[in-house]
Amino acid sequence: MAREKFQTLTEQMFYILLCLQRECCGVDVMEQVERMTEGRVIIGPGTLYSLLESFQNEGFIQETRVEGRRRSYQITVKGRLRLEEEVRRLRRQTEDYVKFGEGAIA
Amino acid sequence: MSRETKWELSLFQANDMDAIAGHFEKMEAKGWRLEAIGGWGYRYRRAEPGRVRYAAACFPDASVYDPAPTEGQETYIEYCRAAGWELAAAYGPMQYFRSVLPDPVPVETDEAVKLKAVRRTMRKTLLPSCGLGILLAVMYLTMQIGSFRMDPLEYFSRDLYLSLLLLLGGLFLYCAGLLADYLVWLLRSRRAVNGGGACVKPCTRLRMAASIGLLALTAVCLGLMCRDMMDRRMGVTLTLYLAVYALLILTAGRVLKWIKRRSGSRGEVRGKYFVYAIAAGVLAAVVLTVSALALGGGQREPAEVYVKEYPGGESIEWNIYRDTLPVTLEELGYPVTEEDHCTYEAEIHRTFLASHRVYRQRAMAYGSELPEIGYTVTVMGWDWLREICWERFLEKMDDPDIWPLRELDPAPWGALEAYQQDDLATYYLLYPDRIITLNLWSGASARQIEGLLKPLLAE
Repeated sequence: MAREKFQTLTEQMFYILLCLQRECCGVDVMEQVERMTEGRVIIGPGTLYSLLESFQNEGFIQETRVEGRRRSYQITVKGRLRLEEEVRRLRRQTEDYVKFGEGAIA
Repeated sequence: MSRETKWELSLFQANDMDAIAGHFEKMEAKGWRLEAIGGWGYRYRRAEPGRVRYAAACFPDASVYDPAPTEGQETYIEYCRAAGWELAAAYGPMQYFRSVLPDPVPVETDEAVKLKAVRRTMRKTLLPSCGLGILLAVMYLTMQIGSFRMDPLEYFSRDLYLSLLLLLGGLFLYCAGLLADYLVWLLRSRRAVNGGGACVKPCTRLRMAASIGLLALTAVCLGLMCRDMMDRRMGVTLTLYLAVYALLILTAGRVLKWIKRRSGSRGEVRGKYFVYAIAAGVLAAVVLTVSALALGGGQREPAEVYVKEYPGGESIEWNIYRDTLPVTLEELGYPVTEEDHCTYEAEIHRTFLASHRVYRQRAMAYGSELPEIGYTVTVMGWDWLREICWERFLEKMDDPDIWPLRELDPAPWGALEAYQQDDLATYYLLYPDRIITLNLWSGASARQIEGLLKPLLAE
């Protein structure tokens, strides 16, 4: 069975949506994500372009401004719901680990 | 003086991203900087040798028919620039970037996104070109089967047919191999990416070796075709063919650029280029056909032209050739005089598979009592090939309604099989290493037939 698109978000998807809670230019997303994650998550320009395009097609983000080649985006309600759902999923995973794991998290 | 630019044939595919980037880095280290990319290859310009990073990426929304970069493509290039990558060259969906940073962020950091871009690019580039290659190969191979069925004894002795067969077979295998190689890569990469891994490494070297092999095969086959046409005294026609097709191939890129400069959209460029391709193809075919007919290729110079004058001022020309025949009417005891104006014609084709010799001796019509003889000798080293040709030949010659084939006792002929065409003096004989056909006059004696066969079997 084909996996539903964006059923789970990759780290790069997650941080792009997180970054776009405020209006942000596409070019700046790469830098912001790197700063937010202290260099742990890096998004390549090709990947960024493709993901922004997919998010836009899916209605998770919308284009807010175009200044020359600079395009700005912001998350939509649908995108915010998807992000929150992902946060809940991750939280549940963490809770399950705490509950059933070897007690790694004290 | 050393040259400033150089061209290199492109043998990479969209999924060879890492190999392409590595290759450009090596060229830059040698002092050759990537400057432009076309349909056939890469152009480099001499530069200071240095350590520069390259990245190859797919932008599937771009097309070779775009008159200028699309908005999306410009945004994509802008993102890459922000990450330290400058666009070095682009051709259709393939984008090549250069970076002077020691460790720039890769253009693609998500393997699933990268795989999707490659898949969409390949769908637009590899699949149509391989599909067209397979279609053309199958179409022309079917035509080759038709040529074999028309003349099964001559077919394998002609460089032209054999080289076409090799070339089309090679093209078919190459295209099918490329498709299979890509599909295997796609399936393996998809499995790896779904499991959280990276796209698998493609078989770049093997594929490049296959491409070089196909190019070498093409060169050999073109050489054989040229030899065949030169043998048939069609050198001028051949030169014209090569010149016209070389011109079409070499100017295709320039014509596309010219159309792009004068068009506003991808659809317009594609439409105009399509019309140009069809018109140029048809025009080339017409020019070549008319020229070939006008040049009258295939006719060799006779040793003598005898002009027969008739009362009333009419005359006819009779070409006389003086080729060496294995056996002549004179040797069979016929009195041949100068008044017969006999022509002795021999045509010989030979390849590594077979040799086919056609001989004919005839006097000028209406002025001579001499019979006409014609015979062919086809030698084939391989039994299976000879059997296939023999079966097809009998199938072709057997016309049950008009001239049915009659099986003869092969023993008197010393043959494995012998056939006669109805009551005509036409015989088809199969020997262990050759096929002989005889077109004789009625009433040839057994001794004369024996005298004719002896040198043909000894040849």
